[in-house]
Amino acid sequence: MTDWPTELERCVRCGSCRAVCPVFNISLQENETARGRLARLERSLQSGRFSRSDWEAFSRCLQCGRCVDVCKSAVPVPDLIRWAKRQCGGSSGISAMIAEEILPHPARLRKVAQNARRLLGWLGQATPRTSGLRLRFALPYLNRRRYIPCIPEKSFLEQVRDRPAQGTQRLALFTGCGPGLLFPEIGSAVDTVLAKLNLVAAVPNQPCCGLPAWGWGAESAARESVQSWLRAFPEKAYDTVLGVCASCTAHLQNDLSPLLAGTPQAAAAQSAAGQIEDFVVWLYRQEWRPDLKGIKVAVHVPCHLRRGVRGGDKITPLLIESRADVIDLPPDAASACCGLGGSFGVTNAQLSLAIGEKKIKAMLAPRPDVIVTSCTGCLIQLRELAERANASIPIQHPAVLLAG
Amino acid sequence: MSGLIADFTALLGADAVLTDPGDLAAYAADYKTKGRSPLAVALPTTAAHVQNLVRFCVKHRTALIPRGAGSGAAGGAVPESPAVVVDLSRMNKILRIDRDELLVDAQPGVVTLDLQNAVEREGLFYPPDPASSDVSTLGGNAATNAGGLRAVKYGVTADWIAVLEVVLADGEIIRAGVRTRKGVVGYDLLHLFIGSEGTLGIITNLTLRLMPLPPARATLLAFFRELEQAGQAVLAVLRSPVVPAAMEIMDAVSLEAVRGKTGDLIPPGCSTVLIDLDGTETEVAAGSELLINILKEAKADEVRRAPTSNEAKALWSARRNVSRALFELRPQKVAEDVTVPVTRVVELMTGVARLAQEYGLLHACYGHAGDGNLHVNLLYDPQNQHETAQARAAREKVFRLTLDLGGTLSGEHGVGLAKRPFLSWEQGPALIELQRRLKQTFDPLNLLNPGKIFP
Repeated sequence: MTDWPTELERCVRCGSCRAVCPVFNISLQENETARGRLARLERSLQSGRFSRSDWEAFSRCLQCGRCVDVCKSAVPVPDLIRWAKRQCGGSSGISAMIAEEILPHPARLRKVAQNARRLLGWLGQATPRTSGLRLRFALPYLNRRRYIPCIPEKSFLEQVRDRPAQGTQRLALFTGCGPGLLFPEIGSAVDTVLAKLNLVAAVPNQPCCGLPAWGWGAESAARESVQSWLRAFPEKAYDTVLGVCASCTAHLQNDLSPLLAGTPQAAAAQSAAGQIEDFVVWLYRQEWRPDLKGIKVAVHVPCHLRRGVRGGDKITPLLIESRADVIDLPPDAASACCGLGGSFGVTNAQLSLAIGEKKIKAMLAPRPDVIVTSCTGCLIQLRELAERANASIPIQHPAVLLAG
Repeated sequence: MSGLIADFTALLGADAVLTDPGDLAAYAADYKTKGRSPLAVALPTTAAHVQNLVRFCVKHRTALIPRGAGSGAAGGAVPESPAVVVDLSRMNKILRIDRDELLVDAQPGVVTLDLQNAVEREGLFYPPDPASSDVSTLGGNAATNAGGLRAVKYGVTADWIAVLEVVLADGEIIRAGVRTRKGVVGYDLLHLFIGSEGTLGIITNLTLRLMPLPPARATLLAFFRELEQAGQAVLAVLRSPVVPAAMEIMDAVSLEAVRGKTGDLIPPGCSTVLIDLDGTETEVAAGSELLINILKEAKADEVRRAPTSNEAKALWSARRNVSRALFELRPQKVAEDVTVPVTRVVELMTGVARLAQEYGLLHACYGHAGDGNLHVNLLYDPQNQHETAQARAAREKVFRLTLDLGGTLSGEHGVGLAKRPFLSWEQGPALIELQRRLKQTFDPLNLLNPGKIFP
């Protein structure tokens, strides 16, 4: 964030955000609109003090960015919220410990995932219902009879550890924690698709992208993650780094460079941010199209994909060109958020599910054969929501559908 | 105060009372006016909640400020002295749509657009249409007698309210108005509450009138090289037997602000008259033909009919967005909803242009040409002290000009805090005193939205 307070002053308080904010539309209180949160921010700035209750209030923003879409002054609300959370001293407690001590370190991250598998086994909860990312933050979650993940016997990252690239393009895969540690079928599907193009992507040992820490307001942990990421994917080592999870990709494309601005890695970060590309956006440029005729698909476009990823949503056109029957959702439903918002779903579980219920209802109504989405956070949330709605429908990353 | 808050919590439940200073900051302002944070915010869900709140606050001599969406432009819902804000957003149920009597019962926190959409799904139509309908609420619309784009044919909010349920300052709940189509029993208190800006009672329920949804619509667009010609064209249309459902004028600066929305639909550098017609297919077809001829005779450079409903939607959406979009040109603006006799609209617009030039300000005029209600905007940068002072001074000149033209200082925003100092410019002392006595009768302790309207 460069010229900080001017961006706050750009809010003219028209209240347009009330019409679109998923949180406000559940809680119906002005302090939970973008306009209301900015008023809190202004007050804290004027008093020169950011408190724990400020952090908690700012944490009730999904950072989905729908308010920015309707804002005539284009106030970058999610950026301001993250900035504000950092002023509150970022995070504390177990979540901060995880964000700072585990996520930036590939080896520790793998170890935690493996141990989590054992732990869950003991708890008798290692069912196929999956919600791994949440474990990163909130152990109290385990008490809530919520989705508990099934950590795979061997994660995708373990399966293909240190694999080099092959083929005419020097490709590398950045899986993100979801596909890398929890959902090996996504990584395998990406491999299958690439094999059809006679390509093998390198899979270097890799950390978390740092988005959870960034969203949480833990700036130094976020910086440490991207530094570690940069070591895993050095500048110019590959032609393209394919990001499998849209949210991780958006974070790296947009925040990698600003996070390392003014550090010795600034130039490398900028160039690396230009090399990472969303897997589906990349795939859409290739000539290959599978035949998905007769498959009725509902696409959930993640907020990060809609607003953050270079190239935007290419899932929809790719599926249409692959002759899938892509359901045309009403505009409101199409742009609706799943409600997870990373750590938001942990700190505000009930609210998160209430927001997501609207989305899953709209997606299930036209009776799709499959729901696809390219962010693993969204994927987990939608699976939980579908389960709660007693709908047995496959919810997958688009790569799985494309691989056939 | 802490005792008060504990009692509120007992009255409403813990999740319906806000006391954290950071939360309260959100209630210190509306669209245009900044005040101070309230003592607390209550989020009632029933009329009984409101009744209990009022009784409690009266007992403790604490002021109450009802608030809808906070999209008002005059500070009507903004605290300037210690008060509890009653945020009615959670009273957002549409209770019953009566297709035969053409009535709908709704709570005050229902968003205007949600009501419009709900009745349209039943083939019905709620005509009042403030430009902020995606945000504004019915209670706020009633409390300010909101106008909007369709007033030229269908009138304002007041014309579509049958009954208001109001909690009075003594805690009594009354229902003013009739559900029948006529009714002359007693004083017309319904219309006293409408537009009273929360100073006489808190609206807890509305019965609104509806009409069958006109099956056909058309949007016409006329471009004029000179603003004056556009103004003359508006008068020519008003003299014709065809009453447009909306007739808006936008000057070149307003159009520039929303160009992103209109794309190639509107050429740059001209003034535009945007007209909506509704009715049966035959009425709309015949009306369009007649108006196209009238506009051409009135020296329109070009007259177009929006070829598809999507283009018509884009044009109207652009028009709705002018107010917010002008902030893209300058960070702040004086925006006044002055209203003059329709025959004086051109004089007002040219007068504003002259003032803007004199004070060195960028200006934009747009609005409801069909009913003489213009939105006069003087754009400025608040960081620039000179420009800010110029804008303030020019604002008063706009008010003088409006009154000289036989107009009124507010067509639809209300007085609130923003126009309070100017009330006596428009109304004589006896009239103001009579209103003060009315306020005294309704609210002897001056606890309902105190300080609003009267200087």
